[in-house]
Amino acid sequence: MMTRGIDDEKLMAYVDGELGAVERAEVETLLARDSSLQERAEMFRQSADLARLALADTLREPVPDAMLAKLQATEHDGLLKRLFRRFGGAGRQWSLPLGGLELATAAGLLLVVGGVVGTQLGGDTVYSDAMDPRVADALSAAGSGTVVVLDGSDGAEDVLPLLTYVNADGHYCRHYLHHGAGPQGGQTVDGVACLDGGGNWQQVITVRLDAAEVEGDGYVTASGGESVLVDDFIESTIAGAPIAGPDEAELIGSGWATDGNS
Amino acid sequence: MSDTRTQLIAMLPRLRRFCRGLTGSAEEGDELVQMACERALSRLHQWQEGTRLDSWLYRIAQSVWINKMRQEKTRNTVPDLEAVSAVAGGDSRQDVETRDLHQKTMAAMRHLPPDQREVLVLVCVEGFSYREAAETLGLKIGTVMSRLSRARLRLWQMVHGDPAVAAAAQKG
Repeated sequence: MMTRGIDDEKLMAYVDGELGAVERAEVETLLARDSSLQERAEMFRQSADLARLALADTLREPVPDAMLAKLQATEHDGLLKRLFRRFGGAGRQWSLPLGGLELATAAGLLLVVGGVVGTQLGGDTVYSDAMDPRVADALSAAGSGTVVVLDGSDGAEDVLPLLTYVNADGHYCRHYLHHGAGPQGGQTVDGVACLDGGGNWQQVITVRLDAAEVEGDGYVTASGGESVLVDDFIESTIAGAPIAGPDEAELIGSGWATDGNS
Repeated sequence: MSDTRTQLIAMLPRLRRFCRGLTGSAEEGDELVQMACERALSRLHQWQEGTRLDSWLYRIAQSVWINKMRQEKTRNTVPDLEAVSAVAGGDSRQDVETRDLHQKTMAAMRHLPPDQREVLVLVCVEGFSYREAAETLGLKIGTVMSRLSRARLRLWQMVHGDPAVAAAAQKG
Protein backbone atom coordinates (compact mmCIF):
# COMPACT_ATOMS: atom_id res chain seq x y z
CA MET A 1 0.00 0.00 0.00
CA MET A 2 1.30 3.40 -0.95
CA THR A 3 0.54 6.33 1.25
CA ARG A 4 1.44 9.60 -0.39
CA GLY A 5 4.75 8.64 -1.85
CA ILE A 6 5.90 6.24 0.83
CA ASP A 7 5.35 2.53 0.55
CA ASP A 8 4.97 0.30 3.58
CA GLU A 9 8.46 -1.06 3.29
CA LYS A 10 10.11 2.33 3.34
CA LEU A 11 7.97 3.43 6.26
CA MET A 12 8.87 0.24 8.12
CA ALA A 13 12.54 0.75 7.32
CA TYR A 14 12.26 4.23 8.80
CA VAL A 15 10.71 2.85 11.98
CA ASP A 16 13.45 0.23 12.18
CA GLY A 17 16.24 2.76 11.72
CA GLU A 18 17.29 1.20 8.44
CA LEU A 19 17.21 4.34 6.28
CA GLY A 20 20.11 6.62 5.43
CA ALA A 21 20.05 10.28 6.45
CA VAL A 22 18.55 11.60 3.22
CA GLU A 23 15.68 9.13 3.04
CA ARG A 24 15.06 9.47 6.74
CA ALA A 25 14.64 13.21 6.38
CA GLU A 26 12.24 12.68 3.47
CA VAL A 27 10.08 10.35 5.50
CA GLU A 28 10.12 12.68 8.48
CA THR A 29 8.93 15.56 6.35
CA LEU A 30 6.00 13.52 5.08
CA LEU A 31 5.24 12.12 8.52
CA ALA A 32 5.06 15.56 10.05
CA ARG A 33 2.05 16.52 7.96
CA ASP A 34 0.21 13.23 7.58
CA SER A 35 -1.50 11.73 10.60
CA SER A 36 -2.61 8.59 8.77
CA LEU A 37 1.00 7.95 7.90
CA GLN A 38 1.92 8.45 11.54
CA GLU A 39 -0.67 5.87 12.53
CA ARG A 40 0.69 3.40 10.04
CA ALA A 41 4.23 3.97 11.33
CA GLU A 42 2.92 3.36 14.84
CA MET A 43 1.45 0.05 13.67
CA PHE A 44 4.90 -1.05 12.49
CA ARG A 45 6.44 0.06 15.76
CA GLN A 46 3.83 -1.72 17.86
CA SER A 47 3.95 -4.93 15.85
CA ALA A 48 7.67 -5.27 16.54
CA ASP A 49 7.07 -4.63 20.24
CA LEU A 50 4.31 -7.22 20.30
CA ALA A 51 6.55 -9.92 18.84
CA ARG A 52 9.49 -9.04 21.07
CA LEU A 53 7.48 -8.87 24.29
CA ALA A 54 5.55 -12.05 23.55
CA LEU A 55 8.83 -13.94 23.48
CA ALA A 56 10.68 -11.95 26.13
CA ASP A 57 9.98 -14.41 28.93
CA THR A 58 11.73 -17.20 27.06
CA LEU A 59 15.09 -15.68 27.90
CA ARG A 60 14.32 -15.76 31.61
CA GLU A 61 13.26 -19.39 31.66
CA PRO A 62 15.91 -21.82 32.82
CA VAL A 63 17.28 -23.92 30.00
CA PRO A 64 16.13 -27.53 30.42
CA ASP A 65 18.85 -29.90 31.62
CA ALA A 66 18.32 -32.19 28.66
CA MET A 67 19.19 -29.35 26.34
CA LEU A 68 22.33 -28.44 28.24
CA ALA A 69 23.38 -32.07 28.49
CA LYS A 70 23.20 -32.30 24.76
CA LEU A 71 25.73 -29.57 24.25
CA GLN A 72 27.91 -30.50 27.18
CA ALA A 73 28.24 -34.10 26.11
CA THR A 74 31.48 -34.89 24.40
CA GLU A 75 29.90 -37.73 22.51
CA HIS A 76 26.70 -37.59 20.58
CA ASP A 77 23.95 -38.94 22.73
CA GLY A 78 22.02 -41.45 20.69
CA LEU A 79 19.25 -41.75 23.24
CA LEU A 80 18.31 -38.11 23.14
CA LYS A 81 18.54 -38.21 19.42
CA ARG A 82 16.01 -41.03 19.23
CA LEU A 83 13.85 -39.40 21.86
CA PHE A 84 13.47 -36.21 19.94
CA ARG A 85 13.11 -37.94 16.62
CA ARG A 86 9.94 -39.57 17.83
CA PHE A 87 8.09 -36.36 18.09
CA GLY A 88 6.60 -35.22 14.87
CA GLY A 89 5.49 -31.72 14.16
CA ALA A 90 2.89 -30.93 11.62
CA GLY A 91 3.41 -27.81 9.65
CA ARG A 92 0.58 -25.40 9.44
CA GLN A 93 0.11 -22.42 7.33
CA TRP A 94 -2.69 -20.62 5.70
CA SER A 95 -3.12 -17.27 4.25
CA LEU A 96 -5.60 -14.82 5.61
CA PRO A 97 -8.42 -13.56 3.47
CA LEU A 98 -7.07 -10.06 3.66
CA GLY A 99 -7.29 -9.56 -0.03
CA GLY A 100 -10.31 -11.75 -0.54
CA LEU A 101 -10.60 -15.48 -0.59
CA GLU A 102 -7.06 -16.74 -0.64
CA LEU A 103 -7.33 -19.75 1.54
CA ALA A 104 -4.39 -22.04 1.20
CA THR A 105 -5.07 -24.89 3.56
CA ALA A 106 -3.17 -28.01 4.43
CA ALA A 107 -4.29 -31.56 3.87
CA GLY A 108 -7.47 -32.68 5.54
CA LEU A 109 -7.70 -35.97 7.33
CA LEU A 110 -11.24 -36.20 8.53
CA LEU A 111 -14.41 -34.74 7.23
CA VAL A 112 -17.56 -34.24 9.22
CA VAL A 113 -20.59 -33.09 7.32
CA GLY A 114 -23.93 -32.01 8.71
CA GLY A 115 -22.94 -32.77 12.27
CA VAL A 116 -22.51 -36.46 11.58
CA VAL A 117 -19.20 -38.23 11.18
CA GLY A 118 -18.86 -38.52 7.48
CA THR A 119 -16.04 -39.50 5.22
CA GLN A 120 -12.74 -40.55 6.66
CA LEU A 121 -9.94 -39.46 4.41
CA GLY A 122 -7.00 -41.33 5.81
CA GLY A 123 -6.81 -40.10 9.40
CA ASP A 124 -6.69 -42.45 12.32
CA THR A 125 -8.51 -40.52 14.98
CA VAL A 126 -12.07 -39.44 15.09
CA TYR A 127 -12.47 -35.82 15.96
CA SER A 128 -15.56 -34.90 17.91
CA ASP A 129 -18.15 -33.05 15.92
CA ALA A 130 -19.62 -31.29 18.94
CA MET A 131 -19.38 -27.53 18.81
CA ASP A 132 -16.99 -26.26 21.43
CA PRO A 133 -18.83 -23.41 23.20
CA ARG A 134 -15.61 -21.39 23.36
CA VAL A 135 -15.28 -21.67 19.60
CA ALA A 136 -18.90 -20.61 19.25
CA ASP A 137 -18.25 -17.57 21.42
CA ALA A 138 -15.23 -16.65 19.33
CA LEU A 139 -17.27 -16.93 16.14
CA SER A 140 -19.94 -14.65 17.61
CA ALA A 141 -17.51 -11.99 18.75
CA ALA A 142 -14.49 -11.71 16.48
CA GLY A 143 -14.13 -10.16 13.07
CA SER A 144 -12.55 -12.14 10.25
CA GLY A 145 -8.79 -12.08 10.53
CA THR A 146 -8.76 -11.43 14.28
CA VAL A 147 -7.28 -14.20 16.37
CA VAL A 148 -9.03 -15.22 19.61
CA VAL A 149 -7.17 -17.13 22.31
CA LEU A 150 -9.57 -19.59 23.94
CA ASP A 151 -10.27 -19.33 27.66
CA GLY A 152 -8.46 -21.77 29.87
CA SER A 153 -6.05 -22.89 27.18
CA ASP A 154 -3.17 -20.81 28.50
CA GLY A 155 -2.53 -19.59 25.00
CA ALA A 156 -2.31 -23.04 23.41
CA GLU A 157 -5.65 -22.90 21.66
CA ASP A 158 -7.01 -20.22 19.39
CA VAL A 159 -9.64 -19.55 16.79
CA LEU A 160 -9.12 -17.44 13.70
CA PRO A 161 -12.36 -16.60 11.85
CA LEU A 162 -11.63 -16.27 8.15
CA LEU A 163 -14.87 -15.46 6.40
CA THR A 164 -18.51 -14.64 6.98
CA TYR A 165 -21.26 -15.44 4.51
CA VAL A 166 -24.93 -16.34 4.15
CA ASN A 167 -25.79 -19.84 2.97
CA ALA A 168 -28.61 -20.86 0.61
CA ASP A 169 -30.95 -21.36 3.59
CA GLY A 170 -30.42 -17.79 4.67
CA HIS A 171 -28.28 -18.61 7.71
CA TYR A 172 -25.06 -16.87 8.61
CA CYS A 173 -21.99 -19.07 8.33
CA ARG A 174 -18.37 -18.58 9.27
CA HIS A 175 -15.26 -20.25 7.98
CA TYR A 176 -12.61 -20.55 10.69
CA LEU A 177 -9.43 -22.25 11.81
CA HIS A 178 -9.22 -23.76 15.27
CA HIS A 179 -5.63 -24.27 16.33
CA GLY A 180 -4.69 -26.51 19.26
CA ALA A 181 -7.90 -28.51 18.91
CA GLY A 182 -8.59 -32.19 19.51
CA PRO A 183 -8.54 -34.34 22.63
CA GLN A 184 -4.78 -34.01 22.98
CA GLY A 185 -4.47 -30.54 21.53
CA GLY A 186 -2.02 -29.78 18.80
CA GLN A 187 -4.44 -30.29 15.96
CA THR A 188 -5.73 -27.69 13.59
CA VAL A 189 -9.28 -27.84 12.40
CA ASP A 190 -10.51 -26.08 9.29
CA GLY A 191 -14.25 -25.69 9.61
CA VAL A 192 -17.47 -23.95 8.78
CA ALA A 193 -20.19 -23.32 11.34
CA CYS A 194 -23.63 -21.84 10.69
CA LEU A 195 -26.16 -20.24 12.99
CA ASP A 196 -29.29 -22.36 13.41
CA GLY A 197 -32.80 -21.00 13.95
CA GLY A 198 -32.17 -20.80 17.68
CA GLY A 199 -29.13 -18.58 17.28
CA ASN A 200 -26.60 -21.33 18.06
CA TRP A 201 -23.53 -22.09 15.99
CA GLN A 202 -23.60 -25.57 14.48
CA GLN A 203 -20.64 -27.17 12.78
CA VAL A 204 -21.49 -28.10 9.24
CA ILE A 205 -18.08 -29.22 8.06
CA THR A 206 -14.77 -29.75 9.81
CA VAL A 207 -11.54 -30.95 8.29
CA ARG A 208 -8.64 -31.80 10.50
CA LEU A 209 -5.35 -30.49 9.21
CA ASP A 210 -2.54 -32.70 10.38
CA ALA A 211 -0.55 -33.15 7.28
CA ALA A 212 1.20 -30.57 5.28
CA GLU A 213 4.01 -30.07 2.89
CA VAL A 214 6.30 -27.18 2.41
CA GLU A 215 6.89 -26.00 -1.06
CA GLY A 216 10.03 -24.38 -2.30
CA ASP A 217 9.10 -20.92 -1.16
CA GLY A 218 8.37 -22.08 2.35
CA TYR A 219 4.61 -22.01 2.05
CA VAL A 220 2.74 -24.99 3.32
CA THR A 221 0.09 -26.15 0.96
CA ALA A 222 -2.02 -29.20 0.54
CA SER A 223 -0.19 -32.45 0.04
CA GLY A 224 -3.20 -33.86 -1.73
CA GLY A 225 -6.46 -32.65 -3.16
CA GLU A 226 -8.22 -32.65 0.20
CA SER A 227 -7.55 -29.06 1.06
CA VAL A 228 -10.17 -27.88 -1.35
CA LEU A 229 -12.89 -29.66 0.62
CA VAL A 230 -13.82 -26.72 2.78
CA ASP A 231 -13.36 -24.23 -0.03
CA ASP A 232 -15.56 -26.36 -2.28
CA PHE A 233 -18.10 -26.65 0.46
CA ILE A 234 -18.25 -22.88 0.89
CA GLU A 235 -18.46 -22.32 -2.81
CA SER A 236 -21.37 -24.75 -3.10
CA THR A 237 -23.33 -23.29 -0.18
CA ILE A 238 -22.61 -19.57 -0.31
CA ALA A 239 -25.41 -17.28 -1.44
CA GLY A 240 -24.13 -13.96 -2.72
CA ALA A 241 -20.89 -12.30 -1.77
CA PRO A 242 -19.04 -12.77 1.54
CA ILE A 243 -19.88 -10.30 4.29
CA ALA A 244 -16.81 -8.27 5.11
CA GLY A 245 -15.52 -5.06 6.62
CA PRO A 246 -18.12 -2.68 8.07
CA ASP A 247 -21.01 -5.03 7.15
CA GLU A 248 -19.47 -7.82 9.17
CA ALA A 249 -18.67 -5.40 11.97
CA GLU A 250 -22.28 -4.29 12.11
CA LEU A 251 -23.47 -7.89 12.18
CA ILE A 252 -21.16 -8.70 15.09
CA GLY A 253 -22.16 -5.50 16.85
CA SER A 254 -25.84 -6.44 16.56
CA GLY A 255 -25.20 -9.86 18.06
CA TRP A 256 -26.14 -11.52 14.75
CA ALA A 257 -29.68 -10.36 15.42
CA THR A 258 -30.80 -10.09 11.83
CA ASP A 259 -31.63 -13.05 9.69
CA GLY A 260 -29.37 -13.73 6.76
CA ASN A 261 -32.32 -13.34 4.39
CA SER A 262 -33.28 -9.89 5.45
CA MET B 1 34.77 -28.46 26.23
CA SER B 2 35.62 -26.42 23.17
CA ASP B 3 35.15 -22.68 23.07
CA THR B 4 32.56 -23.02 20.38
CA ARG B 5 30.54 -25.42 22.48
CA THR B 6 30.67 -22.96 25.38
CA GLN B 7 29.46 -20.24 23.06
CA LEU B 8 26.65 -22.47 21.86
CA ILE B 9 25.55 -23.08 25.43
CA ALA B 10 25.59 -19.37 26.13
CA MET B 11 23.37 -18.91 23.11
CA LEU B 12 20.76 -21.48 24.13
CA PRO B 13 18.29 -19.03 25.68
CA ARG B 14 18.28 -16.95 22.50
CA LEU B 15 18.08 -20.02 20.31
CA ARG B 16 15.06 -21.16 22.31
CA ARG B 17 13.41 -17.80 21.84
CA PHE B 18 14.12 -17.89 18.12
CA CYS B 19 12.75 -21.43 17.78
CA ARG B 20 9.69 -20.63 19.84
CA GLY B 21 8.96 -17.70 17.59
CA LEU B 22 9.52 -19.82 14.52
CA THR B 23 7.25 -22.67 15.58
CA GLY B 24 4.76 -20.63 17.58
CA SER B 25 4.85 -23.02 20.50
CA ALA B 26 7.07 -23.74 23.49
CA GLU B 27 7.05 -27.50 22.99
CA GLU B 28 7.74 -27.52 19.29
CA GLY B 29 10.28 -24.76 19.79
CA ASP B 30 12.29 -26.80 22.29
CA GLU B 31 12.05 -29.82 20.07
CA LEU B 32 13.51 -27.74 17.27
CA VAL B 33 16.30 -26.49 19.55
CA GLN B 34 17.32 -30.08 20.23
CA MET B 35 17.35 -30.96 16.56
CA ALA B 36 19.22 -27.81 15.60
CA CYS B 37 21.83 -28.39 18.32
CA GLU B 38 22.31 -31.93 17.14
CA ARG B 39 22.96 -30.79 13.63
CA ALA B 40 25.14 -27.89 14.74
CA LEU B 41 27.30 -30.27 16.79
CA SER B 42 27.77 -32.61 13.91
CA ARG B 43 28.81 -29.71 11.70
CA LEU B 44 30.85 -27.62 14.06
CA HIS B 45 33.79 -27.95 11.72
CA GLN B 46 31.80 -26.13 9.04
CA TRP B 47 31.41 -22.98 11.07
CA GLN B 48 33.95 -20.41 10.03
CA GLU B 49 35.75 -18.64 12.81
CA GLY B 50 35.16 -14.91 12.61
CA THR B 51 31.61 -15.20 11.28
CA ARG B 52 28.54 -14.85 13.45
CA LEU B 53 27.82 -18.01 15.35
CA ASP B 54 24.23 -16.98 16.06
CA SER B 55 23.44 -16.46 12.37
CA TRP B 56 24.91 -19.84 11.59
CA LEU B 57 22.87 -21.45 14.35
CA TYR B 58 19.64 -19.75 13.32
CA ARG B 59 20.22 -20.76 9.73
CA ILE B 60 20.57 -24.37 10.85
CA ALA B 61 17.43 -24.14 12.99
CA GLN B 62 15.50 -22.61 10.12
CA SER B 63 16.54 -25.30 7.68
CA VAL B 64 15.82 -28.10 10.18
CA TRP B 65 12.39 -26.61 10.68
CA ILE B 66 11.61 -26.39 6.99
CA ASN B 67 12.78 -29.97 6.47
CA LYS B 68 10.80 -31.17 9.42
CA MET B 69 7.62 -29.68 8.06
CA ARG B 70 8.32 -31.12 4.67
CA GLN B 71 9.04 -34.63 5.87
CA GLU B 72 6.65 -35.20 8.71
CA LYS B 73 3.19 -35.53 7.38
CA THR B 74 1.39 -36.84 10.38
CA ARG B 75 1.67 -36.23 14.02
CA ASN B 76 0.76 -39.25 16.09
CA THR B 77 2.61 -38.49 19.26
CA VAL B 78 1.99 -35.56 21.46
CA PRO B 79 5.30 -34.29 22.81
CA ASP B 80 5.74 -34.78 26.52
CA LEU B 81 9.01 -32.97 26.94
CA GLU B 82 9.97 -31.42 30.21
CA ALA B 83 7.13 -29.09 30.81
CA VAL B 84 7.98 -25.55 30.02
CA SER B 85 6.26 -23.59 32.69
CA ALA B 86 3.71 -21.19 31.41
CA VAL B 87 4.38 -17.55 31.79
CA ALA B 88 3.73 -17.24 35.48
CA GLY B 89 2.69 -13.79 36.46
CA GLY B 90 1.28 -12.35 39.64
CA ASP B 91 -2.40 -11.84 40.06
CA SER B 92 -2.58 -8.17 39.31
CA ARG B 93 -4.89 -7.14 36.52
CA GLN B 94 -2.05 -5.68 34.56
CA ASP B 95 -0.18 -8.99 34.68
CA VAL B 96 -3.25 -10.81 33.43
CA GLU B 97 -3.76 -8.31 30.62
CA THR B 98 -0.12 -8.51 29.62
CA ARG B 99 -0.18 -12.29 29.64
CA ASP B 100 -3.34 -12.30 27.54
CA LEU B 101 -1.75 -9.95 25.04
CA HIS B 102 1.37 -12.13 24.84
CA GLN B 103 -0.72 -15.25 24.32
CA LYS B 104 -2.75 -13.54 21.68
CA THR B 105 0.40 -12.41 19.91
CA MET B 106 1.86 -15.92 19.99
CA ALA B 107 -1.41 -17.28 18.62
CA ALA B 108 -1.36 -14.69 15.85
CA MET B 109 2.25 -15.57 15.04
CA ARG B 110 1.26 -19.21 14.59
CA HIS B 111 -1.14 -18.05 11.91
CA LEU B 112 1.51 -16.24 9.91
CA PRO B 113 3.08 -18.02 6.94
CA PRO B 114 6.38 -19.61 8.02
CA ASP B 115 8.47 -17.47 5.72
CA GLN B 116 6.99 -14.31 7.21
CA ARG B 117 7.41 -15.62 10.73
CA GLU B 118 11.12 -16.25 10.34
CA VAL B 119 11.93 -12.73 9.18
CA LEU B 120 9.69 -11.29 11.88
CA VAL B 121 11.54 -13.20 14.59
CA LEU B 122 14.99 -12.49 13.22
CA VAL B 123 14.46 -8.75 12.82
CA CYS B 124 11.95 -7.77 15.48
CA VAL B 125 12.90 -10.26 18.19
CA GLU B 126 16.55 -11.06 17.55
CA GLY B 127 17.39 -7.55 16.43
CA PHE B 128 19.03 -8.50 13.15
CA SER B 129 19.37 -5.79 10.54
CA TYR B 130 17.61 -6.38 7.23
CA ARG B 131 20.96 -7.22 5.66
CA GLU B 132 21.88 -9.67 8.39
CA ALA B 133 18.48 -11.35 8.15
CA ALA B 134 18.84 -11.56 4.37
CA GLU B 135 22.28 -13.16 4.67
CA THR B 136 21.12 -15.58 7.35
CA LEU B 137 18.13 -16.74 5.33
CA GLY B 138 19.76 -16.53 1.92
CA LEU B 139 17.26 -13.96 0.67
CA LYS B 140 17.43 -10.63 -1.06
CA ILE B 141 16.92 -7.61 1.16
CA GLY B 142 13.82 -6.66 -0.82
CA THR B 143 12.29 -10.06 -0.06
CA VAL B 144 13.07 -9.67 3.63
CA MET B 145 11.42 -6.25 3.65
CA SER B 146 8.28 -7.27 1.82
CA ARG B 147 7.79 -10.37 3.99
CA LEU B 148 8.52 -8.39 7.12
CA SER B 149 6.08 -5.60 6.37
CA ARG B 150 3.33 -8.07 5.48
CA ALA B 151 4.04 -10.07 8.63
CA ARG B 152 3.84 -7.02 10.85
CA LEU B 153 0.64 -5.67 9.38
CA ARG B 154 -1.01 -9.08 9.61
CA LEU B 155 0.22 -9.60 13.14
CA TRP B 156 -1.10 -6.24 14.22
CA GLN B 157 -4.43 -6.86 12.55
CA MET B 158 -4.85 -10.32 14.06
CA VAL B 159 -4.07 -9.05 17.54
CA HIS B 160 -6.00 -5.79 17.47
CA GLY B 161 -8.59 -6.67 14.90
CA ASP B 162 -10.09 -4.60 12.19
CA PRO B 163 -10.75 -1.21 13.81
CA ALA B 164 -14.20 -1.08 12.20
CA VAL B 165 -15.16 -4.44 13.71
CA ALA B 166 -13.86 -3.49 17.13
CA ALA B 167 -15.74 -0.18 17.10
CA ALA B 168 -19.02 -1.77 16.01
CA ALA B 169 -18.70 -4.56 18.58
CA GLN B 170 -18.25 -2.00 21.34
CA LYS B 171 -21.27 -0.07 20.26
CA GLY B 172 -23.42 -3.18 20.06
